[in-house]
Amino acid sequence: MTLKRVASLGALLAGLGHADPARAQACCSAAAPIAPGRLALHERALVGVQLAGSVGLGSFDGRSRFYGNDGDAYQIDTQTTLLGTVRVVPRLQVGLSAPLWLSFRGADGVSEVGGGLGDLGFVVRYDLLRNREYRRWPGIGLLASVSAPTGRAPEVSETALGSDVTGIGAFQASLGLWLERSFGPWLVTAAGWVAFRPARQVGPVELALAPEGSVLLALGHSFSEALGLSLSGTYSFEGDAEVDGAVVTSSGRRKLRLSFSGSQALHDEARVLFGVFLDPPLRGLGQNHLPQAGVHGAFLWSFL
Amino acid sequence: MNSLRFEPFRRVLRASQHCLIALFLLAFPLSSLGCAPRAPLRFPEQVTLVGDDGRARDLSREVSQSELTVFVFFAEDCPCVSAHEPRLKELWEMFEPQGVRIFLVDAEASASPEKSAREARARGYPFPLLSDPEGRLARAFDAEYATHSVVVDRQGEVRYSGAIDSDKTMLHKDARPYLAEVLGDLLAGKPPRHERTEPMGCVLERATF
Repeated sequence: MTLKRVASLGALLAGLGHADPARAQACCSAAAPIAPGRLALHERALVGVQLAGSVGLGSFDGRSRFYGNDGDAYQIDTQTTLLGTVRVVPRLQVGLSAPLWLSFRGADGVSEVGGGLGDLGFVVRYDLLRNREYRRWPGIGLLASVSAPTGRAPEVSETALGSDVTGIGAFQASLGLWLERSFGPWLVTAAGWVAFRPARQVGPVELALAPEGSVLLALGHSFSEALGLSLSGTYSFEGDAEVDGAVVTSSGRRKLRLSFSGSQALHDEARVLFGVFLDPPLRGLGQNHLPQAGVHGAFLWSFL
Repeated sequence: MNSLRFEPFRRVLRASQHCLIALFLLAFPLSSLGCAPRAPLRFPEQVTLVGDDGRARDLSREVSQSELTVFVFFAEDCPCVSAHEPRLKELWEMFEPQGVRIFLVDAEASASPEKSAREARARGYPFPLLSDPEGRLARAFDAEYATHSVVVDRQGEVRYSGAIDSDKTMLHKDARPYLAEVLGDLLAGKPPRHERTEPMGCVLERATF
């Protein structure tokens, strides 16, 4: 569940965040890999489908110690996300994402398959300043998102290993800031966002998760007007949760995800994205988190 | 082993389909409003810019001496500009003998006569590349993007403002040649079939707010 929640939020916010080296602006092809659902300049709308598959590498405990998978334990997740984004006015775009999960779990001789609709996400991006608009200023984007608990919450899971858990069971609201600046064919991106979840009743107790903060740093390069590659790292951290008003020590979460991704334009209205990601399974780089390694790809069709 | 749940998949397909349709129905009309063209413009008085040959040009005078004058905004790294260079050269070959002047304008903060000279030479431009680091022409024409093209008549009236054609970076044979159509119409004494289109190029980098 934890891992799906992080993946969903990351994809949701990053989704909009957003050769001949001498003739390729980084704005155009290097921004796409780290922000799949984001409209490029002059695009009025896009629809797309994103596919991702990952394997679990083990787990981090509350003290950030990493443990590999035991014996026959395995965890494989696939995610298919339908994306749609439209430009409402020139600097404002809104996006919708609908993830579908299919998960395979196994441990101690038990194996199961589960999945279904995840939490629907709605995100708004306002470009206060566009990249390159002013010489001494970076592009500045303001992000806001809400995810609705349309997925299956952990407390109502009907499977022993939780393969049917597809959501967090609560609404979630996020606010973020996206900065980007191109230097010739290079694009540097820094972004941060904070997610808030209201306290909710889980069985007999009230559970309140701490706000979750995330920071993204990315370096992209446009090799042509069609091909861009990007290396990025996203670090997410969350304080200790509270149960019935009492802090649960060492229940916070931390996660680092490294990604290498690319975008190849097929023509001005269509592009494919591809990439790999890894949550480094090294002590100290995670807490209460199930690190993964995986691949992703997407096909996006835009309307100029 | 638990059975795979298909019902949620059907639900999400239905839900996302409805949401996307609603989103598009709402946003497309708003999007059109947001991109609505602005009021007609006139060529500014007293504009002198330096060309790639190092010569200062009084553009008000140049405009008054030509049947039609075309200004196309330029950005060094913009793939849209590079992609359209062959088409601009074709336009120049086609319309220059009929009294049409074409100027490229580097209105980015980094513009300089030296850079213009270097770029014009490297790209083999047959038309002048003017440097406008203060963005005076871009502001006068409300130009935000490279490849934005403006057609001005002898009286200084802006007759067209928008894209070179309907292509962005990858050229198509069936692209709509807006600029060529406008020039042809105006030279034939007819009203132009386009007055404004939406230019599709890179953001022009300005020095200050």
